[in-house]
Amino acid sequence: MKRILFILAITLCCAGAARAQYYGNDIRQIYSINWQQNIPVGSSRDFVSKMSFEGINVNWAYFVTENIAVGLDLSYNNFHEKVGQKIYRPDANTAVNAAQYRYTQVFPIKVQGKYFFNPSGSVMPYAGLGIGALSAGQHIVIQDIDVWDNNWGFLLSPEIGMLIPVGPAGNWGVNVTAGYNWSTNKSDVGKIKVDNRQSIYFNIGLYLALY
Amino acid sequence: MKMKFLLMIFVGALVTSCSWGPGSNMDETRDQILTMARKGEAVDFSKFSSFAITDSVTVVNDGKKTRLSNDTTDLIIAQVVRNMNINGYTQVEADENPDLLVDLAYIQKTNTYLYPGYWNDWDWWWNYNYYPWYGWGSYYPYQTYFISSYTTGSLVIEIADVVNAATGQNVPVVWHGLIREILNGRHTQQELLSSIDEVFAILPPK
Repeated sequence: MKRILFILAITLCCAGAARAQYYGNDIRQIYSINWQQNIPVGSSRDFVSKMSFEGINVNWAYFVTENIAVGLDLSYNNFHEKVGQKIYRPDANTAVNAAQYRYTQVFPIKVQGKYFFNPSGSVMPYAGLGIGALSAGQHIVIQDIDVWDNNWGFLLSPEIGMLIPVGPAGNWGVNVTAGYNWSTNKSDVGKIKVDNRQSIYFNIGLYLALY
Repeated sequence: MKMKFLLMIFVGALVTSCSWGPGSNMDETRDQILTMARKGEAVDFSKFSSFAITDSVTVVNDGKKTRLSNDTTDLIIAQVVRNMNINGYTQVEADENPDLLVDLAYIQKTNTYLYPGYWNDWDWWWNYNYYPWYGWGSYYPYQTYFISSYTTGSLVIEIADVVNAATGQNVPVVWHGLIREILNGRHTQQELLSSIDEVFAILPPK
């Protein structure tokens, strides 16, 4: 039994070493597509406070050194929430009391730098920083009335994550990311003031590595 | 196998993430009701003290207009009168020189959206022999764009100012209340009466 374990351990080590050699800094590009979830933070919670499960993210990273990659990151999220009876007063002489449905469609777009701590490991943890812009389309739907605004803001987003190779050739695997979007979007839709947009996001998806 | 499994999870997640929009999650009956009120911007309500109200309700049924009077319309009228009293107005007969006229309409059935001013059903007042001195209808001294359209089951309450109505001129509607989806057969009498209280409470005509 001990012998079997010993042989297994040796085999695993060798496999690890072989893999390491194979990955190394040979990877030139990584494409990933992810399912994204978002937890709103800060004053954007006043508009929609519920977590969004309706998000998608695509990411492209290009290695410029063994550890550092630069690239592009695009996401789409739909935050939505049904709000019960609420009085909406667009001006002093109008009042509407009805159930509201609120949603915000968010498009963050950013250029990104990523640092891979161990690009030749069997998992590849990374930390990244993205800078870009965020578009938020905020809507309050009261039956057939749609009160809305679309606003843009400067976006800053740090993130951490890891790539977990799955395929036997190591050219694809699972990507897991956690990050923070902070953007300067300001809005006043339906007299609900939002000073900036913040959210914690999670990406779970697949990546493809090109050598 | 493992790959297939992962792909299935991933495709599933993507499909889930693509569903969005209002959908059909506003099914609770109370949430179907919309009350909306709008009043004239420069109107000085303090100069009004009395009002007269119709004894029937205009019923709009696919373009046809009739006057309806039954137990339900009596209840509606009584509740509107109660709310006018709460706001400090005294009810008088139409021939007792009222400051305000209150008219009521019920959209029983419509296949299209109707907008304020659609019926101009001032005929009822015309038929009163003591109402011969105004114009053919009413008008809105404010923009009506925000008053939402009328749908099947809507109840409309209009308060017109006859103090400032000149002979031969249309009467200005100084307060307009709309309760949508209340008379669609899915609401109790109590909901009907409380929605009338609500439309007066969110923006009182005073």
